[in-house]
Amino acid sequence: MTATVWGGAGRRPSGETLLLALVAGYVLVFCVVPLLRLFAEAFVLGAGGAAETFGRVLGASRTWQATWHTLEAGLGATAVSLVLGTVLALLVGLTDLRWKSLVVFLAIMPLLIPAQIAALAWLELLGPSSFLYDLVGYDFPAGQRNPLYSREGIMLLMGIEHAPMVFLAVRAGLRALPADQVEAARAAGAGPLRIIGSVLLPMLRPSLIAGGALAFVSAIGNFGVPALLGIPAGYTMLTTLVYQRLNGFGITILGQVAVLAMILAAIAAIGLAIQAWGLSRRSQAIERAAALGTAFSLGRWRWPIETAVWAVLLMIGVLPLIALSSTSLVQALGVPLSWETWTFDHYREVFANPMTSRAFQNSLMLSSLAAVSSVLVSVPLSYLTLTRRRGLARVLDLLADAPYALPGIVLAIAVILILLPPLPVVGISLYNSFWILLFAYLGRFLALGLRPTAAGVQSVEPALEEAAQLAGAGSLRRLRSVVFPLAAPSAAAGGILVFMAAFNELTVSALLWSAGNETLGVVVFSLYDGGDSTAAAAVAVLSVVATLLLAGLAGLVARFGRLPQGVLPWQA
Amino acid sequence: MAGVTLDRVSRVFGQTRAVDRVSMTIAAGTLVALLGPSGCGKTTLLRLLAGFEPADEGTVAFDDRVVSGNGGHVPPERRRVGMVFQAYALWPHMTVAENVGFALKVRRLSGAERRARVARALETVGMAHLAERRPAALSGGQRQRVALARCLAMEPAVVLLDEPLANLDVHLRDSMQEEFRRFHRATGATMVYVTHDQAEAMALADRIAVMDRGVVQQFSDPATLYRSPETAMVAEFVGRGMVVPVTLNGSASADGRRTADLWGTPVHLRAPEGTAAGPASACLRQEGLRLAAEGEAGLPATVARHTFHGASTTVHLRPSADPQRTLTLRVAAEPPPVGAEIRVAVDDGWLLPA
Repeated sequence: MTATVWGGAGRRPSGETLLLALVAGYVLVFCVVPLLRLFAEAFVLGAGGAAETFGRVLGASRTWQATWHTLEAGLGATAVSLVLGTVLALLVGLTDLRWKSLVVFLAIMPLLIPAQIAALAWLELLGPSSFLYDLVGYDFPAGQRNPLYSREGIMLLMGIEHAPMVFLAVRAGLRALPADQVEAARAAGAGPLRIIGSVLLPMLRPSLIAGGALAFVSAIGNFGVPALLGIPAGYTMLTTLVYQRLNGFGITILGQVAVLAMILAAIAAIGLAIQAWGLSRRSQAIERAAALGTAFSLGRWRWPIETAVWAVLLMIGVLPLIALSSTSLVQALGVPLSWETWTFDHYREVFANPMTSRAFQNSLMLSSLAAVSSVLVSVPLSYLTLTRRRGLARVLDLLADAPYALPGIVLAIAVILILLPPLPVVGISLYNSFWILLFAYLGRFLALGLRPTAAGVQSVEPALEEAAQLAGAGSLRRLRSVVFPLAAPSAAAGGILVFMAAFNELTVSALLWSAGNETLGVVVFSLYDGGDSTAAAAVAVLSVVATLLLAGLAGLVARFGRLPQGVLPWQA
Repeated sequence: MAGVTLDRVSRVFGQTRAVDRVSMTIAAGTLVALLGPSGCGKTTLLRLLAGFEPADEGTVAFDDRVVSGNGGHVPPERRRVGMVFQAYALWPHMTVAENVGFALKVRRLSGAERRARVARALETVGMAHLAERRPAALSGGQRQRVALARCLAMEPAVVLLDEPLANLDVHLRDSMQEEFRRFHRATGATMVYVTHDQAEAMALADRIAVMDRGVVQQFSDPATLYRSPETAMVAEFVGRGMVVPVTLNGSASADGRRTADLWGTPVHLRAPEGTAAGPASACLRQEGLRLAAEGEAGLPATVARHTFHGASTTVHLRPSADPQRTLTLRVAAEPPPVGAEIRVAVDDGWLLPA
């Protein structure tokens, strides 16, 4: 017998390695290099002046005030998120509350509405000309400021905005709990509150920690809320400080804002570490004996509890949007909305105004490119990571998370640092162009599309791939003919998620936009900032409508594409 | 179709030798069943043949071409091995014809030739009329036929089957067994069939390899396996043989059988040639035992319980000499009542090789 005659040695096909190299290039360029460049800026490259820049920034009282505000508002918002998210999750997960799917949808609603639009809507809801005051017969004192322009307003809004993260984490935690413990406690004669307090909450602690940490990281990276509420109130957080400094002094102080971004990144890293710790401690009980189901009946508390739940849900999910819509339809601020006075003028203005219509085009283009590109990279990356188990791919898979997990401001500064100097060979700088926005979006949103896609690739039965292998198909052929078609619905859902997020993006764009290269988020913010809140409301309403339509589309894909559970965050 | 030769093949996972120095020669065109309890290594051996697992020791050759071992490993996509997976693994996004033709498309066969070969393969399994259906619109039995056609179309060196009947209900199982036999006769394919169901293995296979803890215990035709098991494990696993201690005498009886002493009762046993006298183990089967007639000599025992089957009844007995053990036999008539003292006549038994 001769050694291995047939078809040569068992080395991996080179096509696969080439693909891996391409994917690696993408992840490195868009996700890794900018962040590395940022860290290098503050520590190494600062042209000898690194220590001096560091000292100057760290010595400024403004820095410490903004850091303190960031921590304070972040923790306050996290507390709001924890209470709101946990109570709703327990009610949905444990009781016979009615209309649960609608409750879940409204509880997740803040996740779909971008921060700057939520802030705008709440400002209208609690502002002087709100219909809410007419309803309750309250006369808003003339000259009084909107109560949301305050530290507490920021905490409340960021808390509501990120409550869905806690809600989803606790809900997932509840689902993994076996019914036995609750039943044992009931058999021991414990009442519902006692069971929740002394059995469930301790067992849910890892989920609470993970969800709370995620809400905290999102809050400290939030830009829309502190920009709309905090800047008028003189309450500056790190994100808004970076924005104000860069806006005021331009890129000459890039080194200084890089240090601010690093402080923010460091706080976020602590939060992310806590989140990872919480997740790692969560019980992975998948083969549970019996699900918890609806353990408790509301009984005679049904009316008060359901009334309270709906009041809260209306307040956080519906009324702000109604206020926003009514502002977009009034003739002018202060004119009451009625059948005779409503007008579409502001919508007409939106399309007549070259800046806003350009912003729609830009955002549409940016989010389409980000969505398509993210899907095209996610499928091979997930295949190489999960199916082919290539070590390098696993590392890339982890690295791709960084630009999305870290605050958007951090990535924006990093991207400026990379693209400000003229590109080699062509010799032009991409700063102040459309391409810097695209570059940042590609890095920021890869992870958002990657997670659903990975779930889809993982759910492809291994035997299907093995059968193709026996049929003689090499790994690239299997990726194209078997894995891609089967993971396509999940990847499409991931693409829609990317599109939704990118369409309304503000945090990154706020630092990277330039005249002619506005995005929708930027336009809403600057219209409001410039005092044109009716036009801002009209743009915001259009964005929300587009977002909800996309969410509906994603839901259809999920239903008819038979997506594995957990692909869409709001269906987890 | 190729013959397959395994030469001291091992596959080691950590401390466990999932496949332990297996040597086997599978002649071209035979249907071999790998039979054993779960965890015996049969599936690992099958995946070794497919190339999904490398051989840590030894070699696997298709005809005279080494595909695993000697420091080399031909990947599955270059082995030309067909496989019917447990849940068939039909690609849900392709039609029946596309499933069957996929391997040919990968090999870049021309459209016309591809269509002809797909049609031929589908006709062989009687599925030509459903060529444009998707797998989701097929019954379990139809899916299996498509899986077979998919193997056939790629003209494999070997066809592997991984417990293909495990997911089917009992009725379908019988007709699918018939389907496999027909497929094997029609194609003359070399087939290796993994199963934990001995009845299935007996009904289908030309030869059966019984595996236990990674080791092939016996590799022979079904009749030999049943009549003359080589180890106690095979005796008990196949046909629920009863392994009992005996003492072999030096003499042979008139019909060529050997006499032995079973708990003090003389019995006649078949034995491998040249077995030395002395203590040994024998395999008894239900049909080799019967209730002794009035006045006939036999092994004293007590009736412990009955299991009623309709046409017959299994009688569970405790031998008086060793009441810890249980012997069973079947009676067509009224069984003796529980607790009755009876005697058992041993008509046939097989002496296990030492």
